[in-house]
This record gives sequence, C-alpha cells and structure tokens, in this order.
Amino acid sequence: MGIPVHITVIDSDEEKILKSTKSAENIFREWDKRFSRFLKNSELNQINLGAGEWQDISPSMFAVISRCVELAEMTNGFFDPSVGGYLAQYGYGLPKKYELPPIPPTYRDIELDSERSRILCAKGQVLEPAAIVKGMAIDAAGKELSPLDGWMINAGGDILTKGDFPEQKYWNIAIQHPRIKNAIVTTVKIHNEAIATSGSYEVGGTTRKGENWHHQINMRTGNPTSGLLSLSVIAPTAEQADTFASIAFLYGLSKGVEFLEKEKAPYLFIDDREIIHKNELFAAREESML
Amino acid sequence: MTSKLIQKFLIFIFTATFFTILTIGIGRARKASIQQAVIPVAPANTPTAPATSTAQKEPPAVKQKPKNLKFTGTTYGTPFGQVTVAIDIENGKITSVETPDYPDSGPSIYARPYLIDQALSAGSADIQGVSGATYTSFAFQHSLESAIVSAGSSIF
Repeated sequence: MGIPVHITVIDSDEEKILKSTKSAENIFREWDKRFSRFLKNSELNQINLGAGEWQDISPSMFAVISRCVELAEMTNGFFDPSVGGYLAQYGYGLPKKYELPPIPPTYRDIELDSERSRILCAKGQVLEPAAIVKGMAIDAAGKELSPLDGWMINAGGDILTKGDFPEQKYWNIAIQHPRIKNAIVTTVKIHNEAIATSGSYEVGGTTRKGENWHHQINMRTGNPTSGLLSLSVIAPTAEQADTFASIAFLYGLSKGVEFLEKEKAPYLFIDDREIIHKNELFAAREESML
Repeated sequence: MTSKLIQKFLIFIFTATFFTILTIGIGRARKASIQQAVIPVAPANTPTAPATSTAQKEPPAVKQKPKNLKFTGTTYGTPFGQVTVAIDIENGKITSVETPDYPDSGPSIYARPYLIDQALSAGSADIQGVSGATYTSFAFQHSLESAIVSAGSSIF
C-alpha cells in the first residue's frame, strides 16, 4: 500500500521477538497483497477491473467492503469506497488511464451476496477501502505480537500500542506538524490504545491538473475537503481510530467535531489557518512540551 | 477621538518596527518556512530565502554575534485575542517559535511548531513515535526508540 511500517517491541526473549514480528510482518504483506490498489495482481485490483459482473471475493474482502458500505450508509455518502474512481482519475493508483463514468458510481451501486461471498459493482466502479484497511491491518498484526510484554506498531502514521513502555509506562506519541517537516505540535501519552492521523498535506503531491488536490475526497461533492490540514483521533483499536479520523476529516470541522463528540473520542483538528481544535479528552492525555 | 488616532498610529509604528526586525531575523535564518508559523499578518517585505522542504544547506554566515537572539514582538490584536510572537535564533537558525501571549481557549489555539530535535534534546518528552498523515514521514528517519528496544521495519 506504499506505507512504511515500523514495529517497536519490548521483551527480553529474542526468539519470541523474532517469531512474533515475523508473523506481524506477514500479516501486513497479506493485507497489502489483497487490498493494495497499487498492485496489479491484488484482489482489489482484480475486482475493480472486473466491475460490472458478479465476482467471487474472499471472506476478508467481503468483510471489509461490507464495513465500507455500512460506513457510507451511516455518513450518508460522505465516506464512500467508490472514491477509488476519483483517485484513479487523478492518476493516484490503479487502474491506469482511468476516466470516471459520466454518472460516477456510488456505494449504492454495490451489491453484496453474503451466501456466496460475491460482489457486484457498476461498470467502471473503482473501490478503495484504504481509509479503514490500514487500521484493520494494524489490529490484525497486533494480535501476532500479543505474546510480547509490550509493543508499538506505526504504519504510515497510524499507531497502536500495547503494554508499558519501560520506566514511563505511557508511550509518548508526537503529532506531526502538517506544514513544517521536522516539527511536531504536541505529544500525547498513549497506553493500550491507538491514534490515527488523517491529513491532506502529504500524499501524491499537492497539485493535479493545475488544481490544489489531495486524497481526502468528500464523496458528496467529489472534491477534496477544504479547511482542514490534519486530524488526530485516539480510540481503543486502530480500526476505530482510523475510521473515526477518516470520516471526521471528510465531514469537515464542524460536522466532524459533532461526530467525534458523539463518539466521545479524543480528537485534535488542525485547520488550514493552523489553529487547533481539540477536546478535553485529548488535552488530558497531552504531555507538556516545556 | 484624537487619542484613538494616536493609539492607532503608535500601534502601527510598533507593529511595523516589530515586523522589520522579524524580517531581518528571518532573512538570516535557514528556515523560511517559519513564515507559516507566524500568526497571520504578513510582513510587507517577505525574505526571498527558499521555502523548500529539502533545504539542507548551512545557514549563511551571520555577521552579528550574539549567539542567541530572542525576538519578542509587540502584542497586537487579532480576532482571537492578543498575540505576541517570540522566536529564538541560534547561529542564524531559528530554533524555536513561541507564542507567549496566544489565547489558549476554545478555537484559538495556534499549532506551535516544536522542532523534533529540540524536543528530544530538551529531554522533556521521550518520544516513541510520531503520528502524521504521511506516507514518507520524515520522523521515520529519526531514531526515536530508546536503546533497550529492538525494532523491525519494512516498506509494504
């Protein structure tokens, strides 16, 4: 999926460490092979190329796409796995040389047959479940590390930690400054939970076809969301953190705040004036920078 | 009415003086990107130092020799309240940006940047990881783990 994965482990048993981290790495490889829209032979790309007919899909894929459709229904289309079409059209990922159909397909065009584990998409529909896949893969890999005393997985900026960090208990995770490369904005104390950051400042460059563009596309308008640079959310699992951060970012600031307040999730938004909007739940975890 | 005019005039003079000093300071600094960290009032003459994220050149030799310069701007009003900006310059490099008087409640918290290296050497927070929305996070190139942990990493 094109993201660096970094695993930190705390344990004294070298053999246990090697075995567990190898299993965790394999999880990421499996997920990548199946869900990467950058790999020609991934299951996802095959599905996208075969759109328009009923296709057999793996139970994993079925579970992920169902969850995406669920989230699309919940957000009334703000979040939609059909975003793959918009990304591909801008040249980001497969299929290459792709043009959106005149009436772009949406999640409503997806039919799922749970009995036979099949999917039917509209012709020309391109699915991209990446917004939640990263978190799910992290949780799955984390299960392989459970024999260890403590660990942290950092996959492309989404982080899950388990256990105590030696001598300080909490894992101190810094939030990257969206515009200044080697700067951070604050640090939070994370313990047996995950933090995910959604943002518009890095992937794929910043201009496509002469316009300011990023990959967080509001599927109601078909355009990149504006007004926000980044959003960090803390949750018990990486899947939840990833999902919350993805959805709330697409909602924009006020709707996003409303959504996260209802979920009682700690959050920190940075808007495009570099102003922070956070809640008490997040502030309570912050570590002083002084 | 006249005193209000004088007030406005004085505010203008002080603000202009502050930004002149700030501009000179920034002109000697390596990081032009600090422009973005300053509260939104653009100085009249922006320096022409390149704002490229890959700029790793050494700063030009700084003629004036206090090693540590601290600039504190005058306090001025914004829609969010009173703001003062202060920057530290060490050997021509900006090492920190502070906003000592920025209102800290509700929507008015400014995202102050802290340079990672500075945060680490200050010893205040041992950072185990950086969360950002980036696929090639600069932070991965820094070794942020303590010596007692073993780590593995790959690109998938």
